[in-house]
Amino acid sequence: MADTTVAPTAIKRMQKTNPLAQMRELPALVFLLVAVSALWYKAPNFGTATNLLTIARETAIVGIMGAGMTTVIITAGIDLSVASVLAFSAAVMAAMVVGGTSIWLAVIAALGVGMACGAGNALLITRLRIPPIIATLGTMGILRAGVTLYTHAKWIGPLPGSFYFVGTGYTPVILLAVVAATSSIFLLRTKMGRYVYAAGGNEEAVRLSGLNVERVKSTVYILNGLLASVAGLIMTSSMASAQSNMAMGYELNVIAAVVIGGTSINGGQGSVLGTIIGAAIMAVLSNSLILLGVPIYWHKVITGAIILIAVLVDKLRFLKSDEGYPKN
Amino acid sequence: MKVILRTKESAVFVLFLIVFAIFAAQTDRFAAPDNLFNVARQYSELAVVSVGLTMVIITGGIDISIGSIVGLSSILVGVLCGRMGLNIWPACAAALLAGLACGAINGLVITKLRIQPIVTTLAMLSAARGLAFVLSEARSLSGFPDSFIALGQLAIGPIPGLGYIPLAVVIALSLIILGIVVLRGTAFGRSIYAVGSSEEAARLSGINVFWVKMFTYSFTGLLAGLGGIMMAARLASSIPDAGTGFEFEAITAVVMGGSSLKGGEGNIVGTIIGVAVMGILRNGLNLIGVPNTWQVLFLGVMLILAVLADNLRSALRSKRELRYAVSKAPDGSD
Repeated sequence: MADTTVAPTAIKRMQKTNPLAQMRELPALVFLLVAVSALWYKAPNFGTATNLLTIARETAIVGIMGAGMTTVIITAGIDLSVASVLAFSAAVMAAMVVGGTSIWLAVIAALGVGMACGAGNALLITRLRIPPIIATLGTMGILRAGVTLYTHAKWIGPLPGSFYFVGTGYTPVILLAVVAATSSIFLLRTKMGRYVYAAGGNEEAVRLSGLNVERVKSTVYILNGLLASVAGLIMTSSMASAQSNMAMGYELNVIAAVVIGGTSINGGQGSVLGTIIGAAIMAVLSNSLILLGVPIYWHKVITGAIILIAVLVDKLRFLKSDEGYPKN
Repeated sequence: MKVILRTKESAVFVLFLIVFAIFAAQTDRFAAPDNLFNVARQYSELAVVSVGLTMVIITGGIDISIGSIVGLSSILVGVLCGRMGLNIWPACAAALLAGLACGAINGLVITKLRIQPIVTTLAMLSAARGLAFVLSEARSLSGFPDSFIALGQLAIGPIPGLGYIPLAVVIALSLIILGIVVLRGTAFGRSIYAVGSSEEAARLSGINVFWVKMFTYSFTGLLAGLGGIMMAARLASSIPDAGTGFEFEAITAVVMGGSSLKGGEGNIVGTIIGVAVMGILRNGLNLIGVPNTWQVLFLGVMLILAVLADNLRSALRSKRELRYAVSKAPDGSD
């Protein structure tokens, strides 16, 4: 796929003329605010505390996975296995708890499983040089099959009541805030974070300038696995059990959230903040379609259209200068 | 012999022979003509769609919406013919057109709006599947005329040495041959490779990159439409989630067949052998009673092994070429 990035001169020119243009997340944010305010008036149940918390939890699950996916996509990679990693780590945790292990030990084990899965992806991609989309397509199938075999396709639960707070009330929002803050600081304020952008910008140039690209890539895939298992904690807690088909198909929601948030799938640019706005748009959208009584089958059609519109708006901002946006 | 072994298709063909031999040794039912006949019939839909996908991947693109387009086309046949009572042939024509339209939209968005293929077709994956559910109200549809169902079951023959061949296989074979002729035998086919190896170079040498890409995506959409019709005829009903996961099976087959996701290389023969491996693997595992879950796991491992083998082979080849170049250098030191 294309490895061209936005010409730096075009960005500089735009930043001079319009400070708001620095903010790639702006169109998504405006869209979200307009949608939320319209719904507040249109749909009577939208503004209730219960409904907002439901939206917040969905945003947190997709947003936390999205934060990891953003770092992966900035390196011009992709990870299709996140939903399977989520299910696998959740199943391990639930099985341990049902088997009598302390819940917190099980949580640590789940996070460990998530990181191990990420490390597996990293190994396939960096050491064995398998393209990320193929490697994670493979692990997506393998891990999902693994969960089904491990759980015998039955639900594992119930989990102790002391664990329910993780997926209810304000906890998901707090977890999302913590993940968003730390991953933003990681990307913007640490050396490794800057390398992540560099690796996605021009891998060859970065390699030649002496940076260990393999280490950067391994870091983002392991981080992504870890965050998938964190999102798994919220989902498991809110369902009070782990199931073999949990979060199936979520990888597409997560990638959509990242792309809607203005991260370029070609790598080199993007932000966690944008992804979280993207996740919120997706959550508000599916929630409002239900509240407005739109038949459930239209949801997919509308989601598809929204993804395209969001990416298009992002592109339009670069259309004015010919050199200023990536080619396919 | 060595030359043959170095081609990309040979690796997947050897894999095919190994898988075939393993299952033939495991169970008598596997190599029975009746069983192979059925596998071929079932997998001709995937083969048809994979022909188009191979071309897309050679241009350096990807299309993950094919499964959803198969579903949409299958449902259109069901809605127009089964529910609204339209004649079956106009219904099929409408389904083909819908597939073509979906592919053309993919192509336009990718070339004119310059949105990356994976994002564009991700949106189409969602939209086309949604539309299939909207149109069918999430129900499966039937009520096809007997003539249409008979076509789905029809076998042509007997052909000496082969016996009866399902009509679906004949359709798939003719499209495979068409695909090979276009890719290998025409200037347009060469320009598909050219766009994949370097779009900029292709553009500068006067190739109309827009039309090359439009063709590959539209053609893939059309073939997915055809796949949907074939599936409706085979099952004698339309199901809204027909073709789910097709994209993954097809991409696995294309990659196993030696196409590079970076574009510029690949061929349809390899892809079709890849499809055949998927077909006999699934069928063989079914026959010896391996649950579906394990099959998914197997396919995942196979996909990764296929790419690994390909990496290994190209590494060996470049080493060999390097050694050759060194030995031919004037003083052996260059």
